[in-house]
Amino acid sequence: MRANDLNFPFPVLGMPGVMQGDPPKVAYTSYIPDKNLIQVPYRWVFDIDIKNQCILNLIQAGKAQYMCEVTCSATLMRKCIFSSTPKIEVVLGRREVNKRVEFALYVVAKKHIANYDNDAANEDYRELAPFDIDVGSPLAVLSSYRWDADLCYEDLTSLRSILQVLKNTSDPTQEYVTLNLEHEYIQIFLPAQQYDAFMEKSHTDAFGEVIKSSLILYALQAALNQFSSDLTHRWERAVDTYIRQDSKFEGLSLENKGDIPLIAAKMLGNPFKRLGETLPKLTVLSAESAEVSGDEEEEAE
Amino acid sequence: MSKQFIFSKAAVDEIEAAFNAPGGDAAYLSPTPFAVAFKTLESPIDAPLQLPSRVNPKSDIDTAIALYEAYPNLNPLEASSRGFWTYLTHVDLWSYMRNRFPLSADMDVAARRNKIKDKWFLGEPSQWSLMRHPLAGLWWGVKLSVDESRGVGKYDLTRILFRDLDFLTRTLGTYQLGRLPAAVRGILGYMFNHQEDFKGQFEDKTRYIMKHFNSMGGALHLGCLDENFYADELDRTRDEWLNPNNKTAPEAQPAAAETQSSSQS
Repeated sequence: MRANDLNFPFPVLGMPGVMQGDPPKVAYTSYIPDKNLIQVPYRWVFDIDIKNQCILNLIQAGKAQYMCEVTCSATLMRKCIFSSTPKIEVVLGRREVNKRVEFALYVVAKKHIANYDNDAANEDYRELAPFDIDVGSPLAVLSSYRWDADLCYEDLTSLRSILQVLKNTSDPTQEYVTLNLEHEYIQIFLPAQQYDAFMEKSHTDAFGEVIKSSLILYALQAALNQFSSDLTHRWERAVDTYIRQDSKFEGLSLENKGDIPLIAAKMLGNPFKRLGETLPKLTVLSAESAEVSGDEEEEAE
Repeated sequence: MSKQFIFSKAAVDEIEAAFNAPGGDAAYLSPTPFAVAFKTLESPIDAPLQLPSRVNPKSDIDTAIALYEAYPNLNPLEASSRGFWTYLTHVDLWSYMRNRFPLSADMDVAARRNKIKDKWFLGEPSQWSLMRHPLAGLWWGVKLSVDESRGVGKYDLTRILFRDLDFLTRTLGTYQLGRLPAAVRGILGYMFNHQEDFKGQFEDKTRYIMKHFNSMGGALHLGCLDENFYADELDRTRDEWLNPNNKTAPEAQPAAAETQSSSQS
C-alpha cells in the first residue's frame, strides 16, 4: 500500500513526511587501524539519537531494537548487529571485507507488535491506525553510510589512485589515444611512440603541466562523462569518495554534466592556471632549445 | 605444507592485455598453460595436494565440494581475489577449464573470445561476478550452504543449491538473500525435507519462491529472521509455489531491501 507515495503500510520514522518532530540523528566514529597492523580490526561506533517517545517505549519494552545492517558485496557479507541501547559498535576483521562496505541503521520490530499507533505519525497514517507490525519490520530508518576498504589507505587526491597512463601494446596500428573505463583505474592508452615521449617528459615540471592540461584533463573529463552512480568500478568509487569528502567540490555534482569540466579541473588542481604560470618557463625552454638547435646546425655546417 | 601461488595484480592485468591483443585467444587453445610465465606471488594460503585430480569437469557439485575441501580456510578477502582465481583458471586448473569449457580453432572467433572472457577471468569482485565465475562460484556456493551441524550430511543443502544452475547463479546465489545464513539454511532445509514437492518445474518453483521472499524483503528486514521463519513461510505459501505458473508472483516493491546483487552493489 502506498499512501501519499509513502513506501510502507505503516508509519516509519525517518521517511520523508511520515512523522512530526525531530528527525533521527546518527553520529559515528570510525577507527581505522594502521595499514600494517593487520590483526587489528576496523571498528565503527554509531551513536543514535531519536526523540520519538512511542518508539523509545517499544525499545524499552524489548519489542523493538536498534539494528545496523552491514553489507559487502565483494565478500558476500551481510550481517545485522542489534542493540537495545542507542549505541552500536561494528567490528570487521581486516580479511572480512573488500572494496565497498555499506552500513544501514534502523529500529526494527523485535517481536510482533499489535495495535501500533504512533501519535507523531502524519494524518494519512492516523486514519488507518492501529497497525500490526511483524518481526523485522522497520519502525525507523536512521541513516546509511558507506566506506571503501580498498581506498581507506589511499591518497585520493593523487592522480595515481584514479588513473593510469599505459602504452597501447594490443593495437600497434592505433594512432589515437584510447581509454578503458572498464578497469579498476581510468586507463589511458597512448600509441607506443607517444607513450615513450610522455614517459620522457612527464616528470619535468613544465611539461607535466602541459600534459595535465591536455591529455589528462581530456581523459578525466571523458571518464567523468561516463561516470555511473552504480559505482561499478573502483575508479568511480574513488572519484565518488573524493568528491564527497573534499569541501572544494561543495555544490558540484557529477549528475549535472555541466559541472564536470569544473570538477575535473578541481581534481587536477586547476591545470590551466598552472599551465599559464608555466608557459613563461616553456618559452625560455623553447628559446634555449632554439639556440641549442641553432648552435648544432652551425656546428654541422 | 607448501603455499599457494597467485598472480599479482599487475600480472592479472598483463594476462588480460595479452588476451585482448589481436590473436590473444589462440593461447587458450594450447594444452599447456601459457600464463606460468607471468609474475606470481606466494600467498599465505595452503596449497592443496593434487588439486587437478580432485576436480571433475563432468560434475559441478563434485568439483565444488573438492574445491571447498581443498581450500577450507580461505578468508573472504582471499576468496574474492582476482589473482587467486585467475591463477587457478590459468595454471593449476588449466586442464579442468579446457575440459569443462571446450574451445576449438573451428569456433566462431567472437564466441570463443566471449567464452574465454566469461570463464577464465573474474571482473571486479561482487556477489554477482563471484557467483557466476566457474570456480569462485563453486567455492562460494558451498561456503554459503555447507552446514556442519548436519554431520555427514553437511553438504545436503549444497546439493539442493547445485541442483539447477539457475538457482546457484541467477536467483538464490546472486540475490542478497543468499548471503543470509538463516535464509539459506531455512529455504534449502525446507526443500531438502520436501524433495517430492520439487520433483518437477524446479526452476519455475524456485524462481517463484525467490520472488516471493524478494517481495517480502521490501517491507521486512529479512536479516532479523531465523531459519524457521523461511520454512514456515514456504509451508504457508505451498499451494502457490507448487503451481508457479498458475499464480503471479508478487512484484518486488520499489522500496525493496532485497534485490539481486549486481556488480555495483
